[in-house]
Amino acid sequence: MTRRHIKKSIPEKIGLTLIYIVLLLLFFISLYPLWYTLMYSISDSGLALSGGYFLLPKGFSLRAFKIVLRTKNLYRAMINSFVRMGLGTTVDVIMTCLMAYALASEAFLIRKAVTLMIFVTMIFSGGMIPGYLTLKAYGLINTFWALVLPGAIDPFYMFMMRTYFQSLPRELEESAKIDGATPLRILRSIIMPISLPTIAAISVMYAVGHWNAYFDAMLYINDTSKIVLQQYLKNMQEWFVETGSSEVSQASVKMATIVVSLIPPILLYPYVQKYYVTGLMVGAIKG
Amino acid sequence: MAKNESNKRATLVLKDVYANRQIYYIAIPGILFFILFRYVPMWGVLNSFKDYDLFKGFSESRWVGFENYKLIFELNNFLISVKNTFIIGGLELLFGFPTPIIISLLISELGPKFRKGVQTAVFLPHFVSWSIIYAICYTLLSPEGGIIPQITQLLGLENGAANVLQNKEHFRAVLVLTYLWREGGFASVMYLAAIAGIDQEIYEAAEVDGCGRFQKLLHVTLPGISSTVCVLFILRVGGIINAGVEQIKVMSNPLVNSVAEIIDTYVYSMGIESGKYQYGIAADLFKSLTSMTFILTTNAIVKKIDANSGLI
Repeated sequence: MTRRHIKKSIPEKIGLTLIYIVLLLLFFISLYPLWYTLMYSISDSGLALSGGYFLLPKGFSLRAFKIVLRTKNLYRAMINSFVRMGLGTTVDVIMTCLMAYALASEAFLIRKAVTLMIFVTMIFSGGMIPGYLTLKAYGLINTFWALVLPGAIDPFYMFMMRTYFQSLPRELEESAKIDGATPLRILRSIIMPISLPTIAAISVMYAVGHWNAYFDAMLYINDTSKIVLQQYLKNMQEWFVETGSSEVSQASVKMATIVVSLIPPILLYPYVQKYYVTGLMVGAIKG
Repeated sequence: MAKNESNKRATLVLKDVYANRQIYYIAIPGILFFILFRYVPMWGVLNSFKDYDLFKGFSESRWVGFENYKLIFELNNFLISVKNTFIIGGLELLFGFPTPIIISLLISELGPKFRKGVQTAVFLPHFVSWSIIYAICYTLLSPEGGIIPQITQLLGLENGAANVLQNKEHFRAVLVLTYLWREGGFASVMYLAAIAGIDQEIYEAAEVDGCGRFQKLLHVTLPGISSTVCVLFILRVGGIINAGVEQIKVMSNPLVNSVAEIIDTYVYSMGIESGKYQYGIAADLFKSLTSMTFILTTNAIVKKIDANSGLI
């Protein structure tokens, strides 16, 4: 068997090299700001102030982190963010799966109408102020529910779930029905376990969304004790009276705060890669 | 006779619903959600047609029709915000739409090992919150020890004494650049998925016909993802009027408001901060309707070019 060998011409090789260079640049640009922050945060504060490129830390000091871990406001904001993320993601996933399962079920006779109703909300919404006024009328301003409920179902992820449910073989449900199982039972014990990868995909996306959310918290939460991490980070520039320490500069503390705030998204990121990206690639999001 | 038949059908339907009532129970939370949190607020839009008086409440306030709408178009701040919205939204569309496509085309040329690495890197910034991006930017751009001023100084460019983030001339550039940083890679993954869906045989046929790398890109890859590109383009153009409110709210400050205030931040300051609900809602409704118009128009134009590629 002869092996076909297509010779790469010179322009081809130049093209490939260019592509590699550009992508290497993109790689660097994407990661450098975060690397900079990390390096700065573990550098000795005094040396760090002199500026520079920070490919490596300047000196080494974890003092900034010690201060960060002692800052009460930050603690409270982080806990609030964690609670919001945990509560929010749980509510989101349950609501999303319920809706998706109903819409995937042929026994649900009004599903076309409901789908249309949901689609309309993707294009048109009441807006920022009616949203605020509605929550106010429900008495939810300044509560956790204001951060959890309004975004409970993201139509995009819900349709993703529905498509997945629709792709499951009917025999699964039918054999369970013959055994006398109710739809809720079927959903809980059979469908959900099989759907774990897709559920994981939407869970991580919801979770990161909750962790990073700023605007809704800014709108609905006024109590300083209830603010979330992102609000703390935004106001960090103005609030920094409490970190008066002769050894550690404000900048170092800020950098350390950022690093700590990035831990949950970074931890979730491999799972995003694993579930969400592969889900996209496999075409789980057609239509 | 006919009445009997329709009665029979109705009873059959009701029996079916009753037999399957569990499914309907399952659907209730979701439907309630959409009603309570998506449809109920829509009534709030009616506020913009009234001379809303906090004391009189909604039903007692005087109906003024389109007066509020006419009024806001006379308010200078509103007009500035509209201008900024289209400038910023337009810039982000102009630079932000082709970039992910180009990135995905480049990545698709790589071998599997490098591909995973680059993809992981460019996808990551999307998961960094705007608050963090703001904080990092502030430090990177700060005149004392920030790295960017140091670079520009080396290049001989002038630096102001203040942080670029407070500089009117450059603020929009910062917005667009940070937007590209955060979203360029994220969107590219979608196009990569579309590229992965192209039939490999077409590539092989092209190669047999003597196509080089660049020609393959032009004649196989681009047409292959054209429907995805069209759908995403229509959605993007519709979203132009949103222009990234969270980003701007986080990163702006009073010094740059004249170039950074967009309709959404105007709605916020008018409505939430000043309590002038009717103007805020009017501006918001104007925004929604404009967005819908854009989507429908772009959709129609795209359909004229290629009947299959439309969104609706």
